[in-house]
Amino acid sequence: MKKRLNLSRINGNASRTSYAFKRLGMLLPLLLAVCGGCQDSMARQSAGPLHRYKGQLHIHMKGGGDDGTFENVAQVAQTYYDAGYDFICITGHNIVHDSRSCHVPGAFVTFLGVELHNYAGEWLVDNPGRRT
Amino acid sequence: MNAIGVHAPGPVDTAHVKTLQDQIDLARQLGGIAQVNHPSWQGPHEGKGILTTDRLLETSGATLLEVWAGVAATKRSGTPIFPPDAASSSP
Repeated sequence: MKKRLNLSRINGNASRTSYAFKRLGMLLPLLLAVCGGCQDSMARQSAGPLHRYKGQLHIHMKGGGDDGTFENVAQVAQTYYDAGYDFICITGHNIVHDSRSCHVPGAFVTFLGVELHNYAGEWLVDNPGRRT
Repeated sequence: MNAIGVHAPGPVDTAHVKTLQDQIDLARQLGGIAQVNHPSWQGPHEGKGILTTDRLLETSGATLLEVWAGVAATKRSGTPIFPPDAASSSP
C-alpha cells in the first residue's frame, strides 16, 4: 500500500484537504504521447517489467491563472497524491511555480512546468508557423 | 501549450511568441516537453478556434497532445460549425 505523502513535514503550509476535486479550473488531460525516441522492444525487455503511472500535466493554482482552485503547491501535491496520482506538473500561465519541495523521491514526482500564452493578440491556431 | 519538465521556476517571457511553432520552440528551449493543450479551444470564435490535424502537422517538436480537458470552455464536445465527428475524421 502506498504511504501517505507527508508534505506538512516538508512544507509547513501543506493542506490536508481530502480528495475533493474542485472542478472549476482544474483540467484532467488524457495524454496521447507520441514518443519519437522510443526504445525498441528489446531494450524494453532488458529494462524489466513495465509499470503504469498516473499523472496530471495541466494544473492551475493561485497566482498562475486560476485563483479559485488551489492555494499553494503543497495543497496541489497532497490532493493529487491522496487521489492516487504518481506525478504532477503545475502549469501556471507564463509562470513556473516552484513545486520542488513537494517532490518526494520514490513516492511522488513533481515536474516543473508552465503553460505558455501569447498576449500579442494573435490566435495561434490561425498562424501555426513553420515546419522545421 | 505546456512545457513539461522545465529547468527552473519563475516567470517566462512570451513577448516574442507569435505562432504555435514559437510556443513549441520556447517550451523546448526551457528544457521542457511540448504539450499541445485543448486543441478545440484555441481562439474566441465559435468553430474557428479549433486546431485541426492539418494545422498541427504544420508544426514540429510537440510531443504530447491533450485530448480531454475538464473545463467546459474547451469545447471538448465540438461546436456547431466543427462537430466532433468532423474533427475526428480529419487525417
